[in-house]
Amino acid sequence: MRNILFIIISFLFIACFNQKGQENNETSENSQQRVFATMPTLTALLELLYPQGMIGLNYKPYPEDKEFMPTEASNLPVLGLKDRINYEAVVALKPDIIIFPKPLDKAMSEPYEKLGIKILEASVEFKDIEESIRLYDEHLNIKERADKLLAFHHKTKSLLDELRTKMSKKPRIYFAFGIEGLQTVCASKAHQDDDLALQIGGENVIKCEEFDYYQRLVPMNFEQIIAFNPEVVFVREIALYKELINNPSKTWQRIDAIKNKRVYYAPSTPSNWLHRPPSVMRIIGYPWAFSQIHPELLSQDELKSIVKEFFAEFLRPISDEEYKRLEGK
Amino acid sequence: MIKSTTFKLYFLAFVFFALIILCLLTLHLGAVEFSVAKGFFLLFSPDDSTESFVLHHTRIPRIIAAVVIGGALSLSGALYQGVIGNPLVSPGILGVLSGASFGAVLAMVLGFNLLGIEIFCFIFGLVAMVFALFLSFAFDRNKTILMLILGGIICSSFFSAGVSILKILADPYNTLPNIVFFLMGSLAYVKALPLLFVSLVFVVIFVLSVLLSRQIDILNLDEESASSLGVNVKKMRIVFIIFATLLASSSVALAGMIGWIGLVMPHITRFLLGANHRFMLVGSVLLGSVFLLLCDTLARTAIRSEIPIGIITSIFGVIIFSTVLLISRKKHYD
Repeated sequence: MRNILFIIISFLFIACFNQKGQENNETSENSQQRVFATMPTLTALLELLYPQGMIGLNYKPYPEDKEFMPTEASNLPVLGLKDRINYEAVVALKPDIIIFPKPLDKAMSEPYEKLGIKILEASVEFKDIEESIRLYDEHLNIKERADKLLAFHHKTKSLLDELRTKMSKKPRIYFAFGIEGLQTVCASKAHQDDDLALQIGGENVIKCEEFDYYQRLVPMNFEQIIAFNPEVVFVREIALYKELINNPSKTWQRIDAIKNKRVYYAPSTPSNWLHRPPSVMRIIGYPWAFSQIHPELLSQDELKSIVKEFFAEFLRPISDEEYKRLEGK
Repeated sequence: MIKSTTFKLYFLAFVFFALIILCLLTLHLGAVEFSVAKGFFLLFSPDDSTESFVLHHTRIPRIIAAVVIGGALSLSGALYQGVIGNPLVSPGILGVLSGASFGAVLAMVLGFNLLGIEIFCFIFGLVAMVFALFLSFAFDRNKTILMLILGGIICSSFFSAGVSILKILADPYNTLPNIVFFLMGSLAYVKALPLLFVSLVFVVIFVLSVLLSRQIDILNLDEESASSLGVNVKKMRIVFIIFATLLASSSVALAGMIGWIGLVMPHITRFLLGANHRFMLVGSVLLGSVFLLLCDTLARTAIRSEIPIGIITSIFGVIIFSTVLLISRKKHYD
């Protein structure tokens, strides 16, 4: 009889313990926020800082990017971006927080606010990255990770600031977007903080003031590119990069950058390192691009260790082989 | 309308010489500047200079492309209009342009290079035509014009929906801009081998169409009259539709979507030269070439960057078409 009583008490104890365990789990799950960012730039930051809370993506990721994305994020549903967000799909996933770009468009955020969802307003500009990281930290309770990312950002920023003082010249750069590289981004005197070429130790050959373009891609033709004759070309499309490296057309061969093999594929995994969108990946994108055009100041080995450290800390460790793949080699 | 055959020939000769002069003049316009005299010298004595390279490797191919594609799109529209017997028909009527666009966009989403995109574009243009013909046959085994147009409308909507779906799925920072620029058209991407292919298709179909122009005149009549004049209406209609589709599809593959030429140029030519296809087809081709050459010169020289050519053809197409319609309406009431 005593044995039976003991077994019953033991069962009750185990049951209570399990229930308590479940309660603990629920509490821990409840403390995790469910978040959706409405712009790829904001989503890229979320992927680094808080992938466990993400509920959706803005667009379908490329298969080659998926393996480098946090596992929690790579298979999430696509909910859209900007004004093409599927409202019901977002609401059905019960988000606690939705992050919108600054300045906040009330017409976009109000339908969510009315449901009691917290709305955050973050800058999509890379120059405001510190402010955005702090905002995420404040609302998602991720101080340790945010501090690490900020420290990494400060480290690469001060490294580049120091190296820029040692540069002897600024190579003239063309950023080739589009299938044939006939679209580009221009540099504006009014927005030097956001001038990609300047940040990576060069000079963009396309000036916004001359082209009356400030934000979007500038369409070009070969004749114009030949007239500008850039010394360095960063290519966005991998197919074009391989063509320019292995078998450039006669037209491209006229350009100094191609003649001197100073053409580089701008890595885009898990999101673009340099431009479109100008995301948090610029933390490694800037030093990477700097080392391509000023290898005498920042060696490939030093750069590789920076990139590998970043991936290991915020995404996943990568091998030398994978690093080569990121560079399109 | 010019009524005398002699004056029609004079008119065609005039447009032809105007085209030649335009080609020579536009050789000297572009971002890399050089004098007319130097341009002519380099034309016959190329050297290693940048000016010579630009002239021979970018400007001349582009001028040839404008002449060929302008002519091809205009001929395509003229053939569709002639065969279907409706002057408001354009190369998009059988869903060919939508099909070709879908092919190009699909290739972009799949990450293909330019040649892959051009091949997909060309093939899907033909697929769209076959699909439209199949639908018209399924609706009505006699393949009447009405059913053909309905088949084309269905096919066009189907592929347009496909393009929209792919645009939603596309990466908004890389693939989507590529799609948008492609859909606005440009001759900046033209390469030698595809240009040679399109030129061959154009020349062969142009010669065949002019030789068979009497058949098109007869097809332009109602079906009973055409049959009584000894023309196999269904067979000949399919032949000319295939010709027109090959022209439209290969043009879109090379230069993206360039609107209005296929509708406006044959219309203006008919207004000037009448409905006799022997003159009308030649006139359409010449006017189409002149129009696209002018538009492309504007596209590459008007501002410091490149203007997508579809925008320019649409703006000028609308102005010219409205003017022609206004004049013809006024004449009608007079």
